[in-house]
Amino acid sequence: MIQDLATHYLNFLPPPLRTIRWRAHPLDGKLLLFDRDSGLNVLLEGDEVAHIRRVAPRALLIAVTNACNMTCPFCYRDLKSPSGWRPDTLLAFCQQADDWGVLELAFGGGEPTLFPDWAGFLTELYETTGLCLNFTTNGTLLSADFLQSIAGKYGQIRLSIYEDNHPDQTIGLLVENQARFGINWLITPAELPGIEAKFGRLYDLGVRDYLFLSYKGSDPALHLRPPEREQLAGFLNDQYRALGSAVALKLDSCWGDALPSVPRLFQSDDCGAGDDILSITSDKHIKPCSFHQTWTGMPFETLADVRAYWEKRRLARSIALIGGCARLPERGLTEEGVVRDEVIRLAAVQQ
Amino acid sequence: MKLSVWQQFSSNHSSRFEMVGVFRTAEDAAKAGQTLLDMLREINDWYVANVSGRADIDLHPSPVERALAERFGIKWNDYTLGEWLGFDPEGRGPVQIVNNLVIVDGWESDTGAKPLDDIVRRLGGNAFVDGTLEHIDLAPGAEFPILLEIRPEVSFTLTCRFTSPADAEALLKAITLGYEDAPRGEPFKLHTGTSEITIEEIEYNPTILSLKRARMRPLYGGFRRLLGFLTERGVSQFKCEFFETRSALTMIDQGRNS
Repeated sequence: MIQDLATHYLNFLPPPLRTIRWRAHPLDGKLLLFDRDSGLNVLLEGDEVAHIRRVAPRALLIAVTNACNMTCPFCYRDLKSPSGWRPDTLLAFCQQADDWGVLELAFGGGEPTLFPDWAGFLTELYETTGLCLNFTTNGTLLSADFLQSIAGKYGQIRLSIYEDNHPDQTIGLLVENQARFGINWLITPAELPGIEAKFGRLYDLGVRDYLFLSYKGSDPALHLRPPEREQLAGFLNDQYRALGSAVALKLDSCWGDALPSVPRLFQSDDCGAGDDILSITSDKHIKPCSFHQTWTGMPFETLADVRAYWEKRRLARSIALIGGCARLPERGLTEEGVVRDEVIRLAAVQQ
Repeated sequence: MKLSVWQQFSSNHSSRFEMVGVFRTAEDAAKAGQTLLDMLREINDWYVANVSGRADIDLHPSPVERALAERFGIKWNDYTLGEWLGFDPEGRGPVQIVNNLVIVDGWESDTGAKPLDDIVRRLGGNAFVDGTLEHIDLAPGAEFPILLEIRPEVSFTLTCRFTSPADAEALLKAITLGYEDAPRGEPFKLHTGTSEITIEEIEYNPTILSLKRARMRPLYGGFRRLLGFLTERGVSQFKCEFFETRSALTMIDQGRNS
């Protein structure tokens, strides 16, 4: 049993950490212990765990609905996909994912707060599984009542910030209600001139967790060119020096090696799409990550189908056929940010 | 075996708290509260004078705080209290003295209540913290520190004496109205307009109302407002007992707060 692993290796932990109710997540030759309430991770490596093999992805990224109350031009989702999940079917699916050994769920969409009785769904899922529940939202439909009703039952809310979704107001609401949250901030060239001022303003509002997203798509004006990437890297290093552990500075894995001068907590040569994470669409297709085009997704009926797909394909390192994917050479871009179609065509043929 | 420890997500965007120092008498509380207020003002003044912009921010304890740590014989927090302290133009700060209680409002804190609880104990009181007490670094000296947040919770039993039985009955009605329709085992609730208090048990006689094992979420700033709310509704005297519970994480505490 997976959970027996946590008990078996408890004595390897320092005494202060042994009282935590860890959830075990086997990796290839390693063991991860995770506590969903604190977000604490412990990775065990050594001869004692070398025999262990991975049995499930760490996280499923689930689009609970394709409906959204905003119309962002850079949204990567297929607008025509139907929304196939119902509360009972999604709950059952997630409970089965818990049994499989998945550690976390990251809900998105569309806009997940449009899902019927979203607070009730999160509550029931938290109380009937050991899963860590997270969701990404535009924040426009959040309320104090909602945040209070889910308090303590989720890992983190990720707030996407745009110009037209009144993020300041939403951040105030999240802070006021002691929500555990971070912001998702898409970094395009237009963001760079005012990035320090905006960062400071968000900090003053109470933001302490920043995820800097890279653009994925075909618009060269939205990709950072090398001097702009250097500027971003310099900014990140400056903020880390100034604020240290007072803030969490995160980069999405699609940056790949595009920001080499920024030191990372984890050094990895791959984003983990399809292995560490798996994407589930609103119309019940499986994709290695959210940026794979919908027509490359595999339809499924049951969790067993998802599991079979993952076991067969997890080491394939499938490439998202989109400019900015870290698995493409130079992320599929020229220095001017233009998508190199020939690289993407070649990747499509080779998959 | 090699172990790596890290935090998947921040434990919170801030480290707010409310601390209640309970003293034997109102006189003791007044003296201790004034000492605490003067100390916080000294820290705040140093910070205001020496930190003028984001570039100057140094989150380490100031010279004033290091001197106070020595004076009280305590270990200071890893971070300066100046980062969150504030006094209004009239000189009012985050300390309020109510009868035998010294209440510190850490609404703006990013660092937690430590070491204010230790100082209250040095001044002769018993300290209860609701919210963030402190962060423990599980990997001192590492490039990426692992901070475990210690978050005790405070519950209280508040016994209120009313001059008028009608006032006591009115407050009882405010708490119990509609309670018969609540699901079995649900706690009572009192809405003060700014907070919601859950109450596990109520004892009542014509002029005394006792709210037992009550919790307020959040406590920050709320307890002072609760006392004001009750006073406006005819409470002439109150007695409060506090109880602190700790989450499983706080079992990691290595005895510094005993």
